[in-house]
Amino acid sequence: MAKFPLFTKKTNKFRKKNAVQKKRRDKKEITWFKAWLGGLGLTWLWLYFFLNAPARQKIETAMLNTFAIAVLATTLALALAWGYALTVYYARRKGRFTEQVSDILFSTWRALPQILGLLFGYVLLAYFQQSQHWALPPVLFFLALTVALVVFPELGDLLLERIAYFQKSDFFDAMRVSGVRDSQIINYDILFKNSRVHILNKLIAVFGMTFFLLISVDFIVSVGLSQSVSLVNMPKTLGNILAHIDSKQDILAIGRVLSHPGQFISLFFTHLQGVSVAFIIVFSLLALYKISQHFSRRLEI
Amino acid sequence: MADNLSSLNINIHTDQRCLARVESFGFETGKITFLLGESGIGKSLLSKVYMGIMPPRRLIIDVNGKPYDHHFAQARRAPRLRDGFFVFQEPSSHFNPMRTIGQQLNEGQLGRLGPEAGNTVLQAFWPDKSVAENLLKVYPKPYRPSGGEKQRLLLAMAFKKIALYQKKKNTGDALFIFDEPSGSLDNAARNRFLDELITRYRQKPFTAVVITHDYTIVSHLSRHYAGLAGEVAWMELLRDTKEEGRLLLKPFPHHSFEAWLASLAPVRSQLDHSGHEILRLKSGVSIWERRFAFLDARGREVDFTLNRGEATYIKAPSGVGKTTMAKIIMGLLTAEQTGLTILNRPVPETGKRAFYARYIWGKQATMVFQHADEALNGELTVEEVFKVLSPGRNVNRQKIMRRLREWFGDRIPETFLHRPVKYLSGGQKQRLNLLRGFVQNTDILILDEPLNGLDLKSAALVIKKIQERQRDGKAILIISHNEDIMEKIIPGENIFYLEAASGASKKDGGSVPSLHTMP
Repeated sequence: MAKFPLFTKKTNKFRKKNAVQKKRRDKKEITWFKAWLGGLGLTWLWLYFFLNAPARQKIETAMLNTFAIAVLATTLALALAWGYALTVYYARRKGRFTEQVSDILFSTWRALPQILGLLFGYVLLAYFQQSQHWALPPVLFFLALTVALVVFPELGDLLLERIAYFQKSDFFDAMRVSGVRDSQIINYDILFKNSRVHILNKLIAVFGMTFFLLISVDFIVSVGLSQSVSLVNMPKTLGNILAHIDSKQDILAIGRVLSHPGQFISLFFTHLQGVSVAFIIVFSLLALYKISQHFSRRLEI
Repeated sequence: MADNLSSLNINIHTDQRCLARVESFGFETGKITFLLGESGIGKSLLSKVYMGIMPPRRLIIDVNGKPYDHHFAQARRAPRLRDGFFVFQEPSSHFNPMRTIGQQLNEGQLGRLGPEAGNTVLQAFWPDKSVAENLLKVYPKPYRPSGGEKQRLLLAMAFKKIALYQKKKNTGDALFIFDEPSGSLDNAARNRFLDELITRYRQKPFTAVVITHDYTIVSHLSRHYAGLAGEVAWMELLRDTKEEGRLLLKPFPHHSFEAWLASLAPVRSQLDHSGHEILRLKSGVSIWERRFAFLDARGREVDFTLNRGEATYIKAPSGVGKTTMAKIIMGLLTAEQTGLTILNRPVPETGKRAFYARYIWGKQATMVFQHADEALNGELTVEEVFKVLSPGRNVNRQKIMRRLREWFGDRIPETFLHRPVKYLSGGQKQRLNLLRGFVQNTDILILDEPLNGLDLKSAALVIKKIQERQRDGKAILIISHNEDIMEKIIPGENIFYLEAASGASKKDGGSVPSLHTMP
């Protein structure tokens, strides 16, 4: 019998083509991540050359603060969601009464609209700020905690779904009858070992949501819904920079370009603060959406 | 064209590794081939490639040195394959929820077979005509046919296609592949399938391939169809230990199975406490509005008991509730009126979970689940499977390696410990699943379909391990559809027939069916 040719020239070519295509497909979310960082870097360079230093520093601080709050809020949301999932699981295991109590508590919390929850957090922060001035880190932490408190149920639901999914399969019972504790099965085997990519994907979405919510509320608060909160006693964020009078004029200038196209080029030199903040917000949201989309598509989540 | 397809060199791989590579993969024309081999070795995958029904995009496949697309197109035109049929292993995904089962049984070419011939096919699988008629009228959802019903429906489709092929005049050969046709069938239904296959084959021969790891088919055929030897081929797909991914298709010495089966006998422990009762479950357990009764060989209703040093077998047709009983014993399901005593400790009605966690699970009893794929965490490595059993995650590596070599052969390297479970073959997963149960060394060991997915060598090893455990004075409960094997190693007094009756308990008017309904 003739030896079976494992690698012929033709099959090799076919295999290489397939592998290259697959690799390209695989890297889309990384490409978007790089594009996001690159876009932000290029924006900073442009600002460095064409925007005055005080205004540029304001944008830098606002961006860093916004991202710091978003990262912290995402981390806190994960911790809260993990605790929420475990509480609900053990409440259900304990009995009907505890299950109903936990259901009522969490449903009540969930019934609070996210935007209202956030505004309430700002009101509280303003109240605390009136009596005693806080340093920046606790303010950032407080804002992050406020955001995390309103977004964690969404992440918690994902964790509960993952637990329920594995509970239905033999996997869960097979480990239980082997004497493995429920806490270990849930925390290690289900959530850590089998749900990491699902959680990471959700975290990207939560980060995007946090970013958007934070900017929206900062914008609302900063344009004057509150008498007691102002740019002076709140940390600078992209939302309140956008609400600042200069940025508003810059944004209005974009509208004016529609009737006076000749002024388009001047937008990038004379109205840079508002235009660049708007660009950072929109571009970041788009990039985060794309990263999440390609990540979930590649891993077939 | 058919000749070109009779024997193929197939190479299947992903970007990273070779999944299967086999030379001269094919089946003898005009014969019934039984293709054996451990689960996950590649029997289904190769057969799908052979028949040209494997979607071309998922894997990188070469057939006879050419990309699979070429074979894919060629196979679709080959009359031998066009007139044939492929019965898939997993029947769950086959039915369209938007059409009745009857409509689906008459789809495409199948509708060409007249109603009379169609009914004859159905009667082979549902002797009670009214049951089949009712089934044809329902939608797969929300009715949800049982695994056995779905399997029989798919087989009925295949036999309709066979009947169509046989109606044609002057046609060439046709290939019918049955992938694990008896996976969800009890022995009675499996035997009806084999009888129907052989009856049809005798009317007008065709090429049939039955992919299975149910070795007891060997004894059934030799008992009832001894004269058919010339028409039947026994083949086995084996792993080439010298080269990863390389498989060998070799004739299976079916007489060796019969010789092995004949050599089996029950064993008894010689320890003092052997024969002592360790578990008792009162007959008449109710769950999901069904009452379950245990009957002995004479048909008398008895309590179910497990004794030290003995293996016990629960026997019932597929879908009756054998696994349900095992789960009730292990405290994973809560039944009404469960008089259950484990090691002289009555299982409490309330606080059951805490009781099991404290005294039973992993301490006095454990259970090996039926589907290794589901029962093991695919994301763990082989070593971690054992690590998670120990609270401090401390394991003696040398000890694990020794046990692994007993179950997987002396040649496995230490790197095997680091292999993720998801990359093991089906047979390896099943052995690992069993080993996880055996290493816990509990007094009670429940094995649900322990021989599922194993080749003959591994099945023999499992039987040996079960008997060793018996000699050590442990009690073993076995649920299996391999009746021929189990009845050899378990004495008649330790075989319990499980029957289920609709309705609640006896006191509510439920009745226990009589012995004549037993398989």
